[in-house]
Amino acid sequence: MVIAEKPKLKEDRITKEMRKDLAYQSKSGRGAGRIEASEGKVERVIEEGRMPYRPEIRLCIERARLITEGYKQAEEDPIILRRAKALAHYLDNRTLYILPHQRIVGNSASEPCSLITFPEKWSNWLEKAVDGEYQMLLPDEKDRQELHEIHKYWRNRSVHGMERRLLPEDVLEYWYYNNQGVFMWLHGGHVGTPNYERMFKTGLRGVVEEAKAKLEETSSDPELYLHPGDYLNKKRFYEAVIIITEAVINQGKRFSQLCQQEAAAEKDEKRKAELVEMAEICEWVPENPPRTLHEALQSFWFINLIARVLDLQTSGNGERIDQIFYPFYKKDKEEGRLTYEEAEELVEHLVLMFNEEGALIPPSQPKAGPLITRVTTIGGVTREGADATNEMTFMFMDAKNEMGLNQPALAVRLHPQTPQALYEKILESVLKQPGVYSFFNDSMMIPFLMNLGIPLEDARDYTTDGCMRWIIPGKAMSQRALGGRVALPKCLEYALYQGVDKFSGKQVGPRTSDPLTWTSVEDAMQGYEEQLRFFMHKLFTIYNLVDMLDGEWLPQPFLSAVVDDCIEQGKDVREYKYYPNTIIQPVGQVTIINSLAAMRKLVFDDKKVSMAELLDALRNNWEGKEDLRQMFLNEPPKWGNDDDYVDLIGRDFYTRTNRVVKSFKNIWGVSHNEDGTGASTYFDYSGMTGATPDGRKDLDLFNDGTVSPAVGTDLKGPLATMKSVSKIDHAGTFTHLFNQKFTPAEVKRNDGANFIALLRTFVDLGIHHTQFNVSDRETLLDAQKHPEKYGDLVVRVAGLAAYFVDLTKPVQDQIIARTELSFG
Amino acid sequence: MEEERGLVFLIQRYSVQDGPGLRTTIFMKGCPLRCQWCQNPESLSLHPDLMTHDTKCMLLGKCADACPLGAITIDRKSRKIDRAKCDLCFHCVDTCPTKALSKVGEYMTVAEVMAEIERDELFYRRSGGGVTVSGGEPLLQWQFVHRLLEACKQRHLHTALDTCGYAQWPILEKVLEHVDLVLYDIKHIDPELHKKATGKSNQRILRNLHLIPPHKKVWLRLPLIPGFNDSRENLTELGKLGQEIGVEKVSILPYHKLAEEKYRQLGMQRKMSPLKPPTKRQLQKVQPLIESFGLQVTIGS
Repeated sequence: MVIAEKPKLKEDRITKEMRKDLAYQSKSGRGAGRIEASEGKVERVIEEGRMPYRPEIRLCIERARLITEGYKQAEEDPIILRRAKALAHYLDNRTLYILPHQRIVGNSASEPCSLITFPEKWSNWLEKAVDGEYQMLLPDEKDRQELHEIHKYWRNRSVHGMERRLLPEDVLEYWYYNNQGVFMWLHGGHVGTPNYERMFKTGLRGVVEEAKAKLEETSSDPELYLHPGDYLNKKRFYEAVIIITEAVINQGKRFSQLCQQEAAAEKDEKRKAELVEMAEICEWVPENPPRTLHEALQSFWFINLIARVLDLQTSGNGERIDQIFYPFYKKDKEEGRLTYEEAEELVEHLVLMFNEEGALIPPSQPKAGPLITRVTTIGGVTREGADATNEMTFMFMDAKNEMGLNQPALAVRLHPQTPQALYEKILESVLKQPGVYSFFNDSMMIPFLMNLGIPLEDARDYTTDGCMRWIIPGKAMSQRALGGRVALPKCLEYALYQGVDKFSGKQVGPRTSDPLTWTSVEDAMQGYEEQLRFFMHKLFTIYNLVDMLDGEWLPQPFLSAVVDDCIEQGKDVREYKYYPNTIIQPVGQVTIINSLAAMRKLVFDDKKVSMAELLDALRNNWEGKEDLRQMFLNEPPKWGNDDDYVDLIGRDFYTRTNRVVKSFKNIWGVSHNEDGTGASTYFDYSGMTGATPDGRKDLDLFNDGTVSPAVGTDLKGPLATMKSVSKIDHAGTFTHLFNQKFTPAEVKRNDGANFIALLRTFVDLGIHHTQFNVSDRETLLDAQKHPEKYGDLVVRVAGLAAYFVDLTKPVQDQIIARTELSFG
Repeated sequence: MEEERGLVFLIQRYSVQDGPGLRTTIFMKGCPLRCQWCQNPESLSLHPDLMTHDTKCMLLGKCADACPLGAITIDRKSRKIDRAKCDLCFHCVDTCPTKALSKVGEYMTVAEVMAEIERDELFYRRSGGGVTVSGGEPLLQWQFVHRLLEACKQRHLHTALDTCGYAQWPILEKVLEHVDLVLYDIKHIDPELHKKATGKSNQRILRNLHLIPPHKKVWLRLPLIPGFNDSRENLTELGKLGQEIGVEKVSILPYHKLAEEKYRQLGMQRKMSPLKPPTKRQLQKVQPLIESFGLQVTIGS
């Protein structure tokens, strides 16, 4: 098998120049997310004092201004109409621009390199942020004054923090992460995915007509308007849908006019022709069904972008991007309008737009800086269960591989029939842009979703809309992106100290069983579970209350218009749910598993150490007990080595933790669930947890991801780690995050056949997700400096297998020198 | 009767250099040769060895306390082991909390080894991999190896034997019953030079190679040692040999000095090896020369 190089594209493509434009560069100055974090560089990034945003990034106050004006103008209206009118006011009056060379248009802020804000959601946070750590975003004093005025209006109206006035006293205390160290409540944004395929069939005009027909029907049904509760709500909802959808259609017309104006002033004939073509496209979409790939891409971008600037504030995409566009590409190609290369260039224009957007939102990780991750999904099976791979699957990968821009990340769905050609493309891609790709397993996801009650055909249509979050595209799902970070090991700590926080000395958790009476891991697990249940009760009290408030204050009339069934039901997507998915993001699982295994081995089974001795050492952060710590670090089996002694504790732990979480219901009466999006936040939320029996010291990091082995403890190679991970009941629990590390030479070995076999076996094993950290020479250099982080790095040179950190410096140097040759 | 156990020093999962696909390699202890360039000195003896890992040692002194013979001394800067006193009881290994000492070599039953092998069965199937028995020289423990390979074939796993070929033919013949692929080391064509560098003549090795039944796949493996076996003449003879036998490919394993550390870790006295690894240019010359005999050549496995 040879790694196929695709034919060279024309060198003079405009997108090549454009990608260097600052407008398309990542706006944040740090927080490259999982890659930086998983390599343990984050601390350094913070120490170096890098600003959260690039110096040329500015705050755009236009959205805040127009939304506020709109709300003020419609104060007599009920909230859904007021919000629709305010959003329409914003769309009709916001500044539009077209950047040079752009062939797909649709800006978010009033100028490039700017961030919009959402005061109706989190004005209190913004008010502090713009005078605090984000001060540099707002150099203009007049703007700052105006923004303060705006925030004043929103002080008691914005939803973020509103719950604090309403929470019962005994819960309010726990709202503050610093008071308990277990969970950090996070509003996050909301995500939802329009039904693009339907929009492409009917255009937004079709939506308006449907809403008008339903309004007409509602208003002419005497049985219905006898019940005003039902009648009025529906009537207002339909009116709101019509107002906002017309405004979105009008946005296309406004862009069309702008293209015409620029075309008239344009001297360059080629560009003039492009602008004329764009004017025609924007005149036609999103109002009408697109007829070409270019129109479909433009229509998609309008609907996607506008849904997001209106009310989808954070990460999330969730469309199957290779599926929705393929029919248009196929038709264009068959009718001779377009080649693969020309289509790829259009796709690259879309990729640029993904990178152009920016919004200022509260960071979900206190120290990591702002991070907006856009994920779109490719591959997988069709609704009928056949392989869905098509030419556009490859096209999006080619575009991303060549451009090297952050957004969007590609979630690749794998399944037993994924063709070899796609695996070969994946191989090429992870070597070029490892950080872009993550892999999801249909063999796990489809039964997982069906277990939640999702019908088979819809389950086959699932996508990833954030890091790990699943969504069914086009369905009435508007879900909270985050919810709460949960540092699970803190619950184990509370169990060890019977609910007392070792740092403050206060009784924070319930007074659970005395660990000195424990005789087995089961006792420890029960203590942990009880603590967890206590804290989850607090967290879900907050969660459910905020879900009520969001529904009350932030209806989403446009999203409701473009997903299935809301118009049919006459209900906003906040109210009518296809599936009400509510999730939280726990971290630190493996820290607990290794701790339980360590106690089992040394305290309960071998009885080498007494519980009193262990507790004493933990309380004192292992001070003066280094030999004991080394024993706990090295002797007990660790997660990730295919050893049932610890792995079965792990399986049990995931299932039982999940059972506790699922025992709490959301306001729609469905169980809450966990989600692997905790991702790289393990480095933040480990900061309030004391020493743990796995040998970890006070405040040290937890493991990375939700299932990845703790650093330096997976000593049996990647297959053993995958086997350990596969022992979890993935389909029965939740979506797990699994990071793996490889050197490029390792990926390339044997023409990549081994790597592909590894991925295929990942599918066989039913593991939910994986992503690869493909690191090279630099990693080895870093491993020399920080050997403690690379205990698992195996160097393989013909005839010899050794752990890199076990070797002396001269030998390591030799290996580093030889990596380039990649022998064997 | 109790089953005879085999002395295994490493079971390497995710082994990618000892045959096709993803494999598990079982390294057997004991070797009849003493090659100057040996990369796995821990494989030589037919008993478990004590290996040190100084980078992990925190000088806690537990090993010194545990040693019944007083063979270990710790001062502020280092840990010293008097190998002459040591009788390999391994009490020290059990007490070290940092795992700075290890026992190399475990007596295992076929069932125990199979349990490890079966863990990665799915990976073998997906990658066309399987099991490789290597060493040391696996034929030294041929009865165990034969039973192990038989057990693999009962489970329809692909098997490879990595051997230096130094054994009585009936033994090799017997073991080959359950072998799909033979990785056959040729260090040198000349018997005298071979004897000088490894302690044994290669006559038996070459004779055995010719006796391997033609339906068994063979990969020749040449550890490439500049100044010893990289002459045009030797490589030409090797090429001819490969052609004559009809081998599937020739693997060139470039010598490297990475194992030097292991000698220290085992407390083995050894002069600094005068051997040098091949340069990239030297390697580039070797490959086409052997290829000119119509053979497939890879660097590494």
